Amino acid sequence: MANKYCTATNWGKDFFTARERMNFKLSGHPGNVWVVEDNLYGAKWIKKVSGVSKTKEEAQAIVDAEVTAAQAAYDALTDEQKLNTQRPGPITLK
Amino acid sequence: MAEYKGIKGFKVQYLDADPVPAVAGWSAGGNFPGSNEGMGSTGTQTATLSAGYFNAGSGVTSSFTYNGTSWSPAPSMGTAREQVSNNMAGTQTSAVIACGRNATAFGLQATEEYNGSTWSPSGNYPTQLRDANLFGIQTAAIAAGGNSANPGVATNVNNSYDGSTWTATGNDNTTARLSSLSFGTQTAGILVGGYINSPTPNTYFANTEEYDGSTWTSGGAYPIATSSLRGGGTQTAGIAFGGQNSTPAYTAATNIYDGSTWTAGSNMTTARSSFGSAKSGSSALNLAFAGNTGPATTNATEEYVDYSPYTGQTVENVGQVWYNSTTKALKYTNETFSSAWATGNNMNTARGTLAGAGIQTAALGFAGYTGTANTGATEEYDGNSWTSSNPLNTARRGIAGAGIQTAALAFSGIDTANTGATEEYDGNSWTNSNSLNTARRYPTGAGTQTAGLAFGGYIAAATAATEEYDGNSWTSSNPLNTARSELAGAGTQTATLGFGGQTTVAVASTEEYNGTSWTASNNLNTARYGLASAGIQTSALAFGGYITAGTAATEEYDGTTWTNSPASLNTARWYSGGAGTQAAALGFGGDTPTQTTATEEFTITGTAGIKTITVS
Repeated sequence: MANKYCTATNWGKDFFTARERMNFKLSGHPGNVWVVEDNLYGAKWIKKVSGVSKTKEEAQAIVDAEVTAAQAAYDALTDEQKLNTQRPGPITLK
Repeated sequence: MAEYKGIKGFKVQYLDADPVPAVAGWSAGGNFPGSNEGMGSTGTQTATLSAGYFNAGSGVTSSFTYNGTSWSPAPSMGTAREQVSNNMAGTQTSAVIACGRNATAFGLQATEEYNGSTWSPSGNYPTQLRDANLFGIQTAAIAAGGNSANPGVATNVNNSYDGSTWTATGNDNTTARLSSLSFGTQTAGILVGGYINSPTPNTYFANTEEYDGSTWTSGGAYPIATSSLRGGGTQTAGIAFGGQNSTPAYTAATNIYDGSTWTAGSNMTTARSSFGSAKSGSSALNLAFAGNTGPATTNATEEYVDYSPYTGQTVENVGQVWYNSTTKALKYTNETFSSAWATGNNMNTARGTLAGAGIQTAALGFAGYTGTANTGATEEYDGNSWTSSNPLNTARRGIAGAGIQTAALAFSGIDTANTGATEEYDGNSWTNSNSLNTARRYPTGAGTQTAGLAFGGYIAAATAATEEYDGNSWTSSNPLNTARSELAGAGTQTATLGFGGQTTVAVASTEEYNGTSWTASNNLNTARYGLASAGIQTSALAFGGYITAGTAATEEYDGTTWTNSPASLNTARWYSGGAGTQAAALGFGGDTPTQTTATEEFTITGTAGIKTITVS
């Protein structure tokens, strides 16, 4: 199933509705990246939230940058701070 | 002439407006005041209370309330806390929080109560604890253990709270764990998921325990071992969502509990762990807010609504007919279905002639042939990616399987010769069990780890032999009507479907097993062997296989007839693995003819729509 990719800031209430989510698949990722099912309803939602379209590669790069920064922050933690936490792993957009 | 009421059971309704869609899913709520994690939470979807959150070991005293639309600051606690994700019980105006962590101690004992306007100190918890497992109300709560020491050591000691004092119950739960989800009442509580880091690092739990006020008993297993999940509801109508496992994979999965079984619901939009929820809310109305998404924390709030339980609303039902008195139109709700295969993330090891078990979001792939050698490689799929687990004791190809991801069965195949070797998987490793009576390769399987079925296969020729497994040993049963190998199977030990395969040529024949004998049913539309399958006897899926070349064709069985699906695999293949249900299946690996790692997810989606009836 094809997807579209965009960045958009989640303003909160009604940023996406349950009814919208019935009509297209939507997943949120670090860096305000959203993976949106490529259909009429998904396109309508991107317009609603003033989403900035990205290619899959561009969207993945944004997420990768977030992951890299988080991994660096984790690596800088003390051993005690690392207890019961895990180093952030890669996220692969569908 | 038959009346409409006689057919549908009700009269045509007069409505001022069209009914609302039946919706169960997540929508965006007001953002949490900060991107934080590890906060305590309780209350309902429209009256939620949050207290504390992670602050680099120091915790905070902050608390906030949610009114169904937006978050507002609430009075501060007396004690700064973090790692209190599951340390609260009660409601927005009558809550209790216990333990946690701050800069002064590994684990806190301090307890505080909130009455809707102020926080007040109460009796200390008996021991230092953080990431505790609380449930109940302010005057009758249970703490079912939690994190008692570094590194990730858990206790299962239970204490009860009466509104002022903590007292050991003497009725400890079975699995010591931290970062679990617990909800319910002091006499009807539930504990699910969780984690320990010692004695075995990164150990995640899927088991559910239920408490009746005096005794803990095991409940239905969560679909995948998960920690730091959240949710709420009651012991017989609960909801759980989010969390993480050892990958580390952060999940958006939602599951509904009916008192015995967890069933997948619609996913959250943002996968997260260590977040807040409406712990005293319901399985139909709940809330997820803030938390850790993996590389970052989030302030996003999502609201879960299942409109279906509500009375007083007119909700669309498929087949419902009504007269819209405003628009003066006769209308009805129809439902259209669409099927699709979507690409998933690849397996780690390319192979064909493997076997599978489980469901689309918690599947297991094991054994097979890599193109150069037999393999015992085992991989777990979480709905997003494959993770390698411990291999089978006997590497082989032409194997069959049954069961679920955390309780799978592997049997038969060929290593250097046909084998009847049987192994059981517990979610971590394989243990040898008793062999089939008839060693063979390329049979198929159905059922569970404790009630499995093996049938068909190849010895020196195709065989019809059927054997039943009881969790310990195999017993011969009545054979298939058509001896064949490289067939597919679905269902349980007492309601099984066998279809396709090869005699000396590809066959389309289908047979149903009732626990005793096989009966012929209608053929597949396309004869093939080396096909994969999903589902049960009355609702099965056949996909892929080999005719004169690999095929991507998919067929759906309704208990009587096979129908060609409009959806075909993106990659034609044979000897692949299969798992899941007819409406949510998984295909993985196989020969193309080279061995592939490709994974595909099949879904059938029904969409309700309103149609107007016109008469010319």
